[in-house]
Amino acid sequence: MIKFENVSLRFGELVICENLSFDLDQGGSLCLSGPSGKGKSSLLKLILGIIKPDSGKIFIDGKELNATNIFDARKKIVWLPQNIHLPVNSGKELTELLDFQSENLELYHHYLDQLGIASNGKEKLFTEVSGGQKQRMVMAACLSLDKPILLLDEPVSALDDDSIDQFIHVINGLKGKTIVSTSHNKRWIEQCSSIIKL
Amino acid sequence: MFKHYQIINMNETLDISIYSLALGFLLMVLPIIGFIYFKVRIIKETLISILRMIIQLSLIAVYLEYIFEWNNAWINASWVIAMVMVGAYTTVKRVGLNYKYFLLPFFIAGFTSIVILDAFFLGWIIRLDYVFDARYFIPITGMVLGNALNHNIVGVSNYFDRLDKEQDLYYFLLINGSSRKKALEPFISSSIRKGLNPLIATMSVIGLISLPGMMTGQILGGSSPVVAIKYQILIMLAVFVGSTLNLMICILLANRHIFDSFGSIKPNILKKTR
Repeated sequence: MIKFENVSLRFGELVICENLSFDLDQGGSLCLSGPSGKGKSSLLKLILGIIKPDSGKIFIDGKELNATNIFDARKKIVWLPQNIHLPVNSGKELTELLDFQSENLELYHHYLDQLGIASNGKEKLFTEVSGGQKQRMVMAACLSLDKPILLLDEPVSALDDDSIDQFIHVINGLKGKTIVSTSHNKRWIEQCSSIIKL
Repeated sequence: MFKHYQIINMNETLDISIYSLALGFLLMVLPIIGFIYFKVRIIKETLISILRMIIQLSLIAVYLEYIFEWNNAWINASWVIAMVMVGAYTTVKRVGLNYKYFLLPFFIAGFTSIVILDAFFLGWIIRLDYVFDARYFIPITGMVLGNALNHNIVGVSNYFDRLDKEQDLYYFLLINGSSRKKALEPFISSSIRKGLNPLIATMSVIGLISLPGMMTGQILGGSSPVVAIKYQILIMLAVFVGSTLNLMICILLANRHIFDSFGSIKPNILKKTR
């Protein structure tokens, strides 16, 4: 599903990866782990075509990423960046911003339940909920897009232990999704099927 | 006792002597004291811009004498095209963008909005027999362009600053949302709001706490206040429409140069050249 073939990337002196190769099958989960500033998020951005590699090839669903198919490739991907500031004040506004259709909305409410957002919390403004709750609402919105590839940048960084367990439970319940994530969190790393240490 | 008033003809404006004009500059002492007191390092910039203003307006006075006398459509149109070009150049410079990519789009934006406005207001509303009549065409176009420039710089600056600082938001919406148009909506809407907010505020208090320059000028020149106000209303509408059109077209045309074939923001576009 996602394949790197001798991919190299550097920012000036900082080497993010040198001839990195891996092949992640559909349904697999890969965690990119390592200290801050090593370029874990940049590797996710390579998959998204936001950053181009200095050399090497990246394949999504068997097709090499290029200007012709990048937009089709992105249609298969959900990206949850770390600490994003969204120009919305509530979950409802977020669903409008992401242009949710009725099937997405149904899934959104399903994932909110699964992630422990009580029904009275769904209508609350982001200013009235904690950082962790807001992150779970954004996660629920991302999962509701129901795309086959999930790119999750530090998905559990703002969650407490119970919420991490809940999130891992939800992620494990997703069938056939290919997941690439970055994390420092031991529990999150342990449940991934493969790890790359940077 | 009777006070002595100078009796002047309603159709004449009191001239200001060069000596009186020079005295007016005495007032500049006050802001300069303020700048020194608050350690605001803009004295040099201010003095240079005042000097430029004096030179530019003096030259304009000479040019306009001839331009009004000739009243030739080609010369008048060339004058306006030059004004549009200077406006585009100033916007690119002030926002700190790459001239190679943005000078032409911003010129096209200014030119298009002026063509629409002049055709509408001068041709259709005021119904001039000769749309290029220098007495109407140049001052009105100049007022619209001058005002549009200020609002354009604020709006375009906000657009590029936000795109630069909030790239993750753009990519989040591009990848998780439905289209690039949708991904750019928050950026475009905030820049239009930022650019036009001061103008909306000005319109809402015009006549209450501000008397606009054009209206004052017309009254000083001997026009009746009613005529002056009608022109002022039209000018405010023209300025608002001109600023809005200019800003929107600038952003739409700029978008053709900001993104690469992957839909990613080109790094050299957002690099400040200031």
